Amino acid sequence: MTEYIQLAWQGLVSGFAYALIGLALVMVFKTARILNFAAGTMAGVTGFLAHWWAADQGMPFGVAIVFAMILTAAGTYVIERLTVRPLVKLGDFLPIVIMTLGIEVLLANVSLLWWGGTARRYRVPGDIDRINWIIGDFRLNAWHVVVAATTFVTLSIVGYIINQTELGLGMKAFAEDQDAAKLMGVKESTVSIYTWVLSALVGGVTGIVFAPVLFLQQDYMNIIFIKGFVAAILGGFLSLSGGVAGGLLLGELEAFTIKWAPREIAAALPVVIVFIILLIRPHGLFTRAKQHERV
Amino acid sequence: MSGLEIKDLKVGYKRNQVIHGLNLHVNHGERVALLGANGAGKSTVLKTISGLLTPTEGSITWKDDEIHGNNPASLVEKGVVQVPEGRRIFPGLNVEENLRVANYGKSPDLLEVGLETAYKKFPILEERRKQPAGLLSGGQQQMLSLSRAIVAQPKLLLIDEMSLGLAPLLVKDFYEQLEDLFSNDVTLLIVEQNAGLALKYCSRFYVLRNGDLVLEGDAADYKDDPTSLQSAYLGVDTK
Amino acid sequence: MKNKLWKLLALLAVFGLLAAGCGDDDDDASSSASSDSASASESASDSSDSASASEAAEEEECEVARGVSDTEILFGSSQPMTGNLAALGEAAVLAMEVTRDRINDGGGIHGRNIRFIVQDDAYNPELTTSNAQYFIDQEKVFAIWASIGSAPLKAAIGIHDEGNTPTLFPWAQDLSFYDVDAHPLFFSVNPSAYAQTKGFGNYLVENYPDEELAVGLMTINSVDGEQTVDGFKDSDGADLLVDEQTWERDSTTYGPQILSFIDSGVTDVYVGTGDTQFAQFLLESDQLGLEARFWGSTGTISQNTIDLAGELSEGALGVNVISSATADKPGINAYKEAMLAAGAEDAQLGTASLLAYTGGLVLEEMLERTGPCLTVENFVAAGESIKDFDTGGIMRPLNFSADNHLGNNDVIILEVVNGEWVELVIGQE
Repeated sequence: MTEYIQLAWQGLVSGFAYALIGLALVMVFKTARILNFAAGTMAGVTGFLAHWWAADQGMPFGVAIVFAMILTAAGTYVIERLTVRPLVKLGDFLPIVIMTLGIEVLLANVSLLWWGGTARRYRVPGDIDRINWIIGDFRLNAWHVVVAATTFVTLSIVGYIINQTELGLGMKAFAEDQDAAKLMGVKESTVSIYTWVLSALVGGVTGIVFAPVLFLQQDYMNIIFIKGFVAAILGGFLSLSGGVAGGLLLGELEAFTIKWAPREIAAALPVVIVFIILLIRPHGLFTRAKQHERV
Repeated sequence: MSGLEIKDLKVGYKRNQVIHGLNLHVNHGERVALLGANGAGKSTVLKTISGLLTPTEGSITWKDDEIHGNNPASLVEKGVVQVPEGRRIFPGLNVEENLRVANYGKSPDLLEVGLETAYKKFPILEERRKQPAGLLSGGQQQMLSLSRAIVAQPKLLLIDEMSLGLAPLLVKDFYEQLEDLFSNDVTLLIVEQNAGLALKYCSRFYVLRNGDLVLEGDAADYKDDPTSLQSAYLGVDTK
Repeated sequence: MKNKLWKLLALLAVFGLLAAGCGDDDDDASSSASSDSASASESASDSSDSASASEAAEEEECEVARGVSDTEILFGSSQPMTGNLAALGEAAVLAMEVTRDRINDGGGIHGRNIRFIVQDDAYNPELTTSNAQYFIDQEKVFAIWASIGSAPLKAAIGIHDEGNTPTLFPWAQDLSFYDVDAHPLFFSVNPSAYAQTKGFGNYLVENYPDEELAVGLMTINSVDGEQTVDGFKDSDGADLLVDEQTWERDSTTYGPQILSFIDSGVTDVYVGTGDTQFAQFLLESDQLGLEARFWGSTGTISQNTIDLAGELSEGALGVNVISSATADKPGINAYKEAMLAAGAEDAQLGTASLLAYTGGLVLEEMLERTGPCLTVENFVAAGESIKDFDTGGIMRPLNFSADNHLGNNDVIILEVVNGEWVELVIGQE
């Protein structure tokens, strides 16, 4: 029994990363109809900055995180204003996607020049990533608890913003019907910029907490980005909670297929299962078909 | 006191010009209908007034204030509110959230007043305030749409084919409610295909055909015989 | 069965990066490629002039193969001189030049100098095949030497065989190459993933006779991974295998695999990954409580593993087939000295050049043993007769035979001791 709990917990920890990136992707797609291909790399840069400042440049960990988040918000603000906004006004989808790809390439190359291509491991305060609690047969890594808590707090904050604030209301209205929302007085540019920044901050948090799990490598968030992308698709790409649930589901799928499926197919099986789910429910698990027709 | 004034308005999508130099005015407190067949350019005119579209030429003034080219949000602040075609409620948002959006960017006190008025008028909405608006019936959605306009506290209300897809009875009901809900202080420009209904409710009308103004007049002159407008709609000479 | 369309889309970003990152290198590589081959032919013609008066003319007449004259033996080499892998091609060509100059400066072999022609294939199998045609039909080479790439060589080796042209010491390790019946003219010192785990299995049985071993393998989910597993299953340690797990390039955790290894009670885990993944595996094993000996494949033997895993890397073992280019051994030192003298940069001291260099040592021995009558048949027989060939520690002693043209069948074992990879002396714990 403990074995299954352990496996489920491991799957959950991976799932947290997929869920957060899935959430960040869906957020921008839902309100602005833009697929942000730079989401993973942006998250990676935030993670790099925070850990580099803390472990390499001697900044207190908390301060480094706050600085990295502020810089992420500011950077995203600039990116949105300078690159995305002018293209949104032209109204075509493809140039924006290509622009986000371009941002990805640019950021990836800058971080490659800055930090080099090899993986690094920065120490976290108290080496808590090396602390393991043993409860019966169950082993709990302290950093994984940090990851879980951070995920919970992040999701709560995002939930609060979406459901309890005027900004969230505008985002939701904008996601449902852009023109109608504009006619109600919701400012497109305001909603867009806050959505981008919020999305980048969610990604940044993910980058920071998963750096000690994955090592910091120039492209360490790219795989998480791809998995988050799958999570978002699973969730129907229009449902925030769907993106989160899709991420957690994918994490568990990966863990349990390795446990149960034959070696030859285990690693590929989650993808196959996602594929089958999408065959049965093309709109994802958590979105009504009708919602898509409106798009 | 001057109301809405449109001069030599030209609007187009990309290279395709839709409105070729429109002149139109609505006096303060007046109710005017903009009529025409499907595709005549009526909705384009409304979208241009409310800021969704930018004119290529010409001017729009509201209370002596040039408003063309402003974004919708700043127009909403000036009291220019459009009720979009169909009902265009937000189906995934609950009833109250729909109403809160209509108060977007304004003081919460105004929201309280607006909610109170709306719920008093339509108690069913208060009952279902936490339900997703998409689950409401057609009539209830119409109530919600009207309530949104109440909350928005418009000075110039632009209504775009609200009858679209509604049962005739409900449409009639809608115009009656409109009369009830908005004081004479609210200036109205109503886009409608159903000329009979519009004429009953408005004092003047304009008829658009293929982006050109082909007829304008007093509603009273045509009230008893709205079908004679048909020729203007379709460009068929009935003389 | 991998619907990865969206993945593909997402990876466009990565490709974009590669394309952007390599755009500049391409030009450099192509220009240096042409200068390399130009200098190759120049220097060869210089030395053939001076060697023309050697004893070759006095030898009794005998039959020789295509590409062999009284004064010269001609080789062709298909290399990635442009594209992502251009650096490898350049390093290999440099090692070939070092070999050529050593032989020619020593008066050649049986009066014949070595000359080689390099053709760029940009790691593109199509170009490799047309290069093969060109070498055989136009240039009439004796053999194809030190080409790089499994896929390119797989496409071209049929043409080599058909043209009765030996394929010598490539950096390519598809299992099919080592089948002597299929490719009787293929010689290599670069073992496949298969041979690596086979050597590892043999090593375990030989060196831990008193322990009850249970082995877990974690290999990449690909053909390479399959061959890794097959190698172990064909080793003396086959019976010890209790758990096989796979990983994918997009794996973010090895937790589930580690839990399985714990469940099956392994004493030894072979981790067929790169260094970053190996370090993560060590960390996660610590988190989840897997207590075993950890054996990393060639790709894990780097300072990076130690930097990333910290003290957890202490005692980790590495299974290698070729010595590190930085080790202090006579063979390696000679290699370094020759390469640096030829103008190599530090970055060029690595597997690509070391393999080509070591292949050059064996090639020299094969040509010596063949004698003046250099036919393909005699050459192959000479190769098969090489036993216990000493590379000065670059590899374990090489042994060839009629049914094994892969000389390198033993593994070098390293261990992390005090934060450094240290080579274990075979036979000692």
